[in-house]
Amino acid sequence: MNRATRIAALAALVVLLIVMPWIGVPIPPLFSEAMSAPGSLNLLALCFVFGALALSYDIIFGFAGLLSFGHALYFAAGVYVTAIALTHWHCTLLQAMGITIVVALILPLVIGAVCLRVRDIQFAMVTLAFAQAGSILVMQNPFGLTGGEEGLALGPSALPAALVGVANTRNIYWIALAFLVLTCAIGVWSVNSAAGRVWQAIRENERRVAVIGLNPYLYKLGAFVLSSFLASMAGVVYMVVEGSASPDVTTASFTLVLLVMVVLGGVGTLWGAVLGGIVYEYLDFRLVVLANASGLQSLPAFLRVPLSEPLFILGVLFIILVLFVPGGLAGAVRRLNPASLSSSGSH
Amino acid sequence: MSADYLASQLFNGLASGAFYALLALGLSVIFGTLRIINFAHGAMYMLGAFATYYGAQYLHLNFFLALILAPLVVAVLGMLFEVLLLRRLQGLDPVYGLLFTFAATLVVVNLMRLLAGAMGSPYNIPDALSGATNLGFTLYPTYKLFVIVVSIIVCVLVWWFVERSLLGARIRASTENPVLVRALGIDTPRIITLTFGLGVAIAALAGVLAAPTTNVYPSMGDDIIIYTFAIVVIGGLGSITGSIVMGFALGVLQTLGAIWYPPIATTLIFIVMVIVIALRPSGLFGRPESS
Repeated sequence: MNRATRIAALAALVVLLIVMPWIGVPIPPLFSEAMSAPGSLNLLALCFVFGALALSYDIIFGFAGLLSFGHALYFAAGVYVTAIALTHWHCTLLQAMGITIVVALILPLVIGAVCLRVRDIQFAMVTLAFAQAGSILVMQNPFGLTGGEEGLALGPSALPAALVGVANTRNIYWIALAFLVLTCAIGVWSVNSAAGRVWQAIRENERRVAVIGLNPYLYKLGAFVLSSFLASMAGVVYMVVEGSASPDVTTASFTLVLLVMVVLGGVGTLWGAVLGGIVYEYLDFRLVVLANASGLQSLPAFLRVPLSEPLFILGVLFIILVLFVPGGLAGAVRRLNPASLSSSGSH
Repeated sequence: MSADYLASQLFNGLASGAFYALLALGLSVIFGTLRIINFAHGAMYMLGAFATYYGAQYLHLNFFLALILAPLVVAVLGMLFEVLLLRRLQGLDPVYGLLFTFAATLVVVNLMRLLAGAMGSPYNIPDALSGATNLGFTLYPTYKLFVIVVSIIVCVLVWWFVERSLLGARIRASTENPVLVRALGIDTPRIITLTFGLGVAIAALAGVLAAPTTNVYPSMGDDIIIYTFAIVVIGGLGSITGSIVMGFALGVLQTLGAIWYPPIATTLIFIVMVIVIALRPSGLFGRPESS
């Protein structure tokens, strides 16, 4: 496909998604209701949020080659700051977004500045430690702000009337769709920008980048802040879609979920990451429904019981991915490199 | 605040530092040879505690035998894990080892939840170690003293073994130059497996020691492992001395910090980590990178 047809196909897809709330077609095995039904729209909106979140993770992991093991922290920051501003401080949604944007810029700037003093495995460990500190903070429920284990739920008056109620699900759906499109645009633009080329060069050989007179630290910090910022914004949209915050999104397991999304779709390809995020969230949501409905109940206990533990499944899934994606994840990155470089060059 | 109170808090700090030191030591031993940060270390610690608990429950195994047998059993499981799975990651970026062992941790911890329930079970302090000992200035729980003494002995022995013994020299040589070491007729894969077993055994030993001090429950290793990561980074990745010294030091610091301001106990280690990385990224005992 040449560039023009690709753009045309993409535009057609976006238009189709925009008019989806007016299309009453059922897609029986995939969705339990018609596409225009609130249930389907809500699931699609969640999928869009996770597609965008996976894309944000791919910028730092796939393009800059930095394994941040604490990406959950920035998503959680978006979720919780928005939730706290809406429920405890009685802000409007716009004010809450403003506060979240400030936090979403400062937090990764400070943490990134510290973490990027070390590299490779230590970088992973240190980002993980920060995320863990955040997780502990949320669980401790300081000043009654985060709700601890219970999490936070938005009251009916916390959001504008246009975003409340089953009848308005389509508005939420459009917000999620717009956010995904915007994030994709920012993602494509950033990895093809001059800085984006430097990120990929750092991933391949950091020392060479330093030798030609560029400062890898600043470029890495830029990638870290952009990626974390987008994750926080995904957190804001998640809060609007879901209406509640749970401490689950602060954990290291949640970061592993993001990693699985990116790896499923192909590390270092933005479209792959978006697709991985959408497909994973869809399966996560639908498989639980299917499992409760039938299927699983007929399995013997030694299979049925472990399969009811989502984290068990996540662990097994990841082990299989690492062992059977040829050459492991790194191999997948390397295999995709020439393709991703040439495709990003053709844009 | 009396001097006696401070002194007994100092011992409390050493007792919690004993667990950090053992876990950090095991992590460093494994990192030294496999170049992998073993996230499953917390799960191995948990398995050590469960081996002790089940040993007492079904085999009437006494605590002192468990101190030797439980680490052996868990080490065998660990070595199987290394031979069957971890070995396939050789040649990949070390971060995949971290991710892989994290995924393995999710599998093991959630299987244990299914087996034992999330809440876990209590394990009593053995009679011989219950009660308190007179230290001259204060009465102090005998069991905590026992933990401190055992962990110091184990740390010193392992330090001597890796840094000073012939087999330790071979272990270090297998990391530096595996091809040359193999050419000298030394079975490097076996050395790597045994070293992994040693690291796992130390984690399981910490688990045995922890069994009487806390409930034995599946996620008992989840939090302590991340503190241990921070300690290993502070001490200097791969430095055995750094792991031991900083393990004890941060245990003490955390306990004393909590006297001054209790909520800081959970974050103090991370704060120290930030300061150390800012000033000396290679860690307090690590060799600065040659770049």
